[in-house]
Amino acid sequence: MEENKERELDIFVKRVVHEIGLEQPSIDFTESVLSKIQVQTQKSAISYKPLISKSAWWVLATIFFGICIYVIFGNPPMEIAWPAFSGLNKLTAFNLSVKIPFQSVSNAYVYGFLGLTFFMGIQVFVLKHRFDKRYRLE
Amino acid sequence: MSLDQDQSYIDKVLNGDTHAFTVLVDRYKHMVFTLAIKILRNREEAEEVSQDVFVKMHEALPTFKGDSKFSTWLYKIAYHRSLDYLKKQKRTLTTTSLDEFAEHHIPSLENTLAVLEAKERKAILKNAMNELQDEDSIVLTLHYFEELSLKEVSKIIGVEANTVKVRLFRSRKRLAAILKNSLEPEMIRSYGRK
Repeated sequence: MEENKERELDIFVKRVVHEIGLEQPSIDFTESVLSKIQVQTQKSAISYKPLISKSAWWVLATIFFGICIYVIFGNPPMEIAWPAFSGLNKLTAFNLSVKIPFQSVSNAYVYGFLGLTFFMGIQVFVLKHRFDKRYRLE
Repeated sequence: MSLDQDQSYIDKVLNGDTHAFTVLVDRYKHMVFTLAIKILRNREEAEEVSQDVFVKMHEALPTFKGDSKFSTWLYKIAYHRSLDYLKKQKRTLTTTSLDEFAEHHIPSLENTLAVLEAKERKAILKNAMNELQDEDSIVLTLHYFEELSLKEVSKIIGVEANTVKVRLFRSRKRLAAILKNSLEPEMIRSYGRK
């Protein structure tokens, strides 16, 4: 009897659900979807543009610093002898293996320093991830 | 809709066929919209969310592996996107009923009465369905209208198949009870007319 009732209920509810049918969205639904997708593809197309100028920046930076280094250390023939540059010559004569004037650094200092660097590194990644998540295009 | 039918359209969409995409949208927009409206209880919001579901579908289509029915995959996106929208609005699923229902074409005089009766009937049935919890009404619609198995429904709404079964049995009984209650005064009225 119970099974019979359940089967009756099954048929009944099926009829009801079919009669209710589904909701009708607006007439221009599909059109709107297509235009939304177009907007999205345009967005992603636009976001690629800056990449080209980024590499241009790198090239410029390399050239600029290349020139700077050459001018400072390469001693090219110059018309104006800048007094500043004579000072710079002393720089190149620096012996960089001169010791930093602490005789010894305590272990606590080293561990503290390493810990600080490590956690700062983690912070960078965590913050980056958090901001990326917040400002993601969805 | 068989998986094979969908798969050929999916492949076309992946190759950039816009027309194939509109075919898929037209095929599934009613159910997606229905799911959204059952959760959001607001036509405009359901419209917007449903459109976003299809945009998301277009984005995520390359990741569809075909290990489930396409419809199951799509309805899962629809269901969860609607819930996410609800969360953003800081609302929860409610049981308030909808006041509006679908418009019909204006009938000729001969079938005016028949259409009126059908309209009234449909409205009563819809109102009864809307009195159910959102998830119950979704389970009933997916299982009885789309004829999805309990397993497929469970994949879509993210609960155990057994829970779906219990929900189904319980909400079936409740729907029948609601209808009986709303039909009693109707029956009395119709007897009175006779």
